[in-house]
Amino acid sequence: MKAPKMNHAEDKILDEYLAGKSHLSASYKSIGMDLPGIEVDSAILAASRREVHARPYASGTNGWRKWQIPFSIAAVLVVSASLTLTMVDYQKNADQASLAPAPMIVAEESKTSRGDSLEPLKSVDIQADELPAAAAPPRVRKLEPVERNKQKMLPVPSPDGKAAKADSAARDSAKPASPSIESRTGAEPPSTIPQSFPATAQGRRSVEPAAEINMPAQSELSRIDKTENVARKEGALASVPRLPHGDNTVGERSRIATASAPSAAPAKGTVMADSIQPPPARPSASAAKKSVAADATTDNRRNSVTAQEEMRKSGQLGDSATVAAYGAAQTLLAKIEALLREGKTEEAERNLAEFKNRFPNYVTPESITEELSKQRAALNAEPK
Amino acid sequence: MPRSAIFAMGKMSATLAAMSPADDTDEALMLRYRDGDAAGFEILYARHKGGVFRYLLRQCRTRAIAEELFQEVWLNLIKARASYAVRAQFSTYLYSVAHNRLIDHYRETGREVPKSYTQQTEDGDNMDNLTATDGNQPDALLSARQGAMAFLRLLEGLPEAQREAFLLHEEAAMSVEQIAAATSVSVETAKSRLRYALGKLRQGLQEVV
Repeated sequence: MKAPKMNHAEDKILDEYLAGKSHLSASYKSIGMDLPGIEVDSAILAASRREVHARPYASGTNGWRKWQIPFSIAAVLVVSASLTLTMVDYQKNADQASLAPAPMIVAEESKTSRGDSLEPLKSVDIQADELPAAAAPPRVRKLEPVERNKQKMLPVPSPDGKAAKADSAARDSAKPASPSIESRTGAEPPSTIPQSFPATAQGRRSVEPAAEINMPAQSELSRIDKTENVARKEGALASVPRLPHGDNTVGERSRIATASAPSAAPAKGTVMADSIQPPPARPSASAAKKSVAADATTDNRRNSVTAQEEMRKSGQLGDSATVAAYGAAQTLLAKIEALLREGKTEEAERNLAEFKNRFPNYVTPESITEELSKQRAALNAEPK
Repeated sequence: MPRSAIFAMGKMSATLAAMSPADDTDEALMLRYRDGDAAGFEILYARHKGGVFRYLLRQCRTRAIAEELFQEVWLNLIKARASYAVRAQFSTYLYSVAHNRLIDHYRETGREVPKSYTQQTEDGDNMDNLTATDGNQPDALLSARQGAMAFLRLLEGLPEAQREAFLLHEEAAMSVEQIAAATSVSVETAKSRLRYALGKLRQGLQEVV
């Protein structure tokens, strides 16, 4: 019974104490209300404020604040990745655009590298109807041997022989003039020689020695070369042959010399009267035709190059114009020239019409049209 | 809705709006401090600094050590503000931090943790002698000064665990359950410790008288 009584007593004391009815609490409070020092208070309060300033939002239970930093990092990564990919794509496109013209240049160079085998001028010189083996842009430098050959063989022989006789007659008639021509080494300006299709050898444009022509020609070649380079960069000169420096192409040099001395170009009407010996009308006319036609080749080459440049610049010869089409046009022009030299005016007219039909955007050289008109006028004027 | 109810609600809302931070509970103040309001901590500190200090002082018996432990207790509280969550009463949380720091102090000084902390039952105490059945209150017969000094000596003579239980009730107004939570013991253990503390104090005062 003691234990329950004791337990009851203990519990009663405890309950009274917990209820505040015991004097023990008063006795304890009588000991004193000790407090910490002021410096301790200051230190603790200062530390609490520092903590708040260091981390204003230290709560981790707030849903939005908990995700602030991760969202910020994710946003930065997304923006950075997008910018990087955009820059990479832009750079790729820029590189592709800059590399685009290269294949065209390479192809043109490769084709020009085998241009030695493509000699429409050469073939025209030898045989009028020998078309070039491959359609390739003519190389200006090959005008020199052609031009020299033309000098030697006045006029250009034809397969049917008709022109051969006339040429021989023209040659005979031109013989007296040849020394003058041969001796004409540039001392006398070609004042009486027309720009195209001179009547006789005398009327031919003098082949100025290389020394005299090279000097201006070189600068002009440089100028032409630069012009071609500019056009090539525009992607339009895909099939234009480069004018190699140092090659003294007669036709080009003659053109340059003539261009630099415009006053030396004689009037068209004075050619026949001043420079052509008085042969029979027909032979003289045929000889004139042949001699003029022979020289027309150089003009054609020059004009073709010029025309090609002009067409390219004007956009007529588009970027997609193939070398084959250009070669075909050149071949047909050469054929027309040969017919004109042979005096086959009607056939030349037919071929010219075909040329204009096939290549409507190709500018017909003026020399051909002028010669054709002259021959037509001569035919119409001849008594039948 | 009767007009009286409307007026009461209006008055209540006005009262709530007029409440200052000092009227907030300990838990609310600590949450405010967690969210960046330093004023909430200052109010909490003012409320509990005396009790925590005396709790530590009565057990350390040296003011310097008590102040050092006291400062460390509050610094630990400050550092843990970001992770504070209302899981128990703030006073229980605060004095549990103080209790742990006190135990660490015993270990740091080379002393073993007092046996009274590890004992689940109070041995060697005859509650018969501790119970005054005659109803007299011996503590009331002493003068104030004598009583205080005697009581202090008696308090210091208590086992650490019993003293702690008595101090937690006196300084923090904790119930037996709260004392059990703060000291990480069972309710019965806390009750026993408190009971024995009371008996010894009463017996000691009786002897003094």
